[in-house]
Amino acid sequence: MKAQKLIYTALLSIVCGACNPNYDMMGMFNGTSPEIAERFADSRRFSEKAGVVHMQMPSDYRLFICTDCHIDSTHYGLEKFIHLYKVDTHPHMCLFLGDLINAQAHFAHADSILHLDGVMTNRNDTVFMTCGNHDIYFNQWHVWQQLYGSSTYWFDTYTGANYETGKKLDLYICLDTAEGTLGTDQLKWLKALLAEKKNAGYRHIIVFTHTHLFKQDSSQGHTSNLSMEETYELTYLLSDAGVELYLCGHDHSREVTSYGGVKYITVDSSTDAEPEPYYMVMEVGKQITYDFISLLPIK
Amino acid sequence: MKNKFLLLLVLAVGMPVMAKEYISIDGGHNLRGFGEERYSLSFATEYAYNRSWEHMANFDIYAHMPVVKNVQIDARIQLQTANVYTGAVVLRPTFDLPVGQLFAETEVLYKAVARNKMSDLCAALSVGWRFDYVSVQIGAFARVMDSWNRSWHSEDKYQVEPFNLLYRLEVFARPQTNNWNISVAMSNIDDWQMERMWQPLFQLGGRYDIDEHWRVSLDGELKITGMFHLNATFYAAYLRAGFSYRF
Repeated sequence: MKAQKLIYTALLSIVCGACNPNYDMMGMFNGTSPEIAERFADSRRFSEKAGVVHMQMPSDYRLFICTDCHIDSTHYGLEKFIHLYKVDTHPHMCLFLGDLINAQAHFAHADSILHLDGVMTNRNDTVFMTCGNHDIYFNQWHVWQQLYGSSTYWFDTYTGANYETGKKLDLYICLDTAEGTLGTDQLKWLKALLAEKKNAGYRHIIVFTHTHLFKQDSSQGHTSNLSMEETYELTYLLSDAGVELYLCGHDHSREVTSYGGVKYITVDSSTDAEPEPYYMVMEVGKQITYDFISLLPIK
Repeated sequence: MKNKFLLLLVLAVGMPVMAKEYISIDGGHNLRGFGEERYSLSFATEYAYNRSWEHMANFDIYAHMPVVKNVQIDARIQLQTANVYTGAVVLRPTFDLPVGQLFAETEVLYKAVARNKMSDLCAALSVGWRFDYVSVQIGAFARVMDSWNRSWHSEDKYQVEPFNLLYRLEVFARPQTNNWNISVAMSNIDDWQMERMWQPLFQLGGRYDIDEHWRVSLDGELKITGMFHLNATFYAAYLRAGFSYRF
């Protein structure tokens, strides 16, 4: 009788889980969006057509970093973050590390907040995006791509009158790890890019993406990392190329660690459901310093 | 009726997945795989593919040593053409029960990832219960990853992952005493790797005992990534063929 009860409870939980509109249960067996090879090809097509972005900056500048807003019915965290970003007189760009939305049909909602208004146009303010696993649930990759173009790209910053005569500052590389793997093509692209750029005279090389690499504690719930072989390969590649910083989200809990000469930072979630939502502010100059700022009170 | 229903449920859970074959052979015991009272040596060759290192061939050696009654030591070495070398030692006491067999495992697995100039050391403790048709194992492991080029003059450090859940569920098609068997399994470990708990490995394997001394085996394994954040995709596959000699 007890065993029967247990079985019925387990089956009921599975059925309820499958009916929850926030969970793309089919994705547990096979992701519903195009897989990484196709997303990478889509991203590269877009980026090659759009060209590389070179951001003109003072040599010391500030950037805001936010991740895992998981927008659904409310969006106080993201709204507050964008407000703080707009009213700060120093920031020149913002990185968003994925999981903008929680489930389906929330992109319009989220994008209306992200859309920067005319106040910003006389500054360099720009949001650089990557996608998270939630962003591509329910076959929503094409919606994400239509809005933000590419999830695998690089851009750099320079100071001076123009890019040709100015001084190169920092290189930023955005990767797509929404599925828990870089895939073969993206990894090859990254290897080639780092080989080309590692001695190109950049002050700092910064990689940002969604998925974290290490699992130091049990904060992660059911969020998965990259597989071990990929962790070995990627950490070595980043160390070898002199990458200084790897920024990610996904875990929802802050983690700052160093490995192989690279600093790995997992930024806290800024979702409304989070009891302690944070965003990160980074000062980039000769050295990189950073701080985590609370979004409380969120409303 | 209830038992049949339970068995069907276990089979249904195990069906879409596949397995690690077991190398050890039983001695004066009715459960194959564990409780073996004789030494054996096994060899296997593997074709493997993953999205990071792509195609590779692996060569595996296993030694099974029953040091005293109901206590065994397994030692394993794997050489990979991807320039990765793995060694593992397992200490396994077993306890015979009226139904099935209880076992405990203490495992240390060391991986020298020479291609990436780093090492990965895992230490695991687990307990299991093995029946004729089903084997379950649960435990925990800790991991230390260290770069061989670590700078000792900076805040650079090794990576410690103090707790990972370890699990394994294996379902057999035949009773353990049969001279052939096929099994499917889901777990986050195999003989050569310990994955994080949310990175399951699906295994399908079979073995055939030619006579008292010789056994041949064949098994395949799939590693899917992103399953538990609901974006599953293929990451790696392994196809392994081998034989054992029991002394």
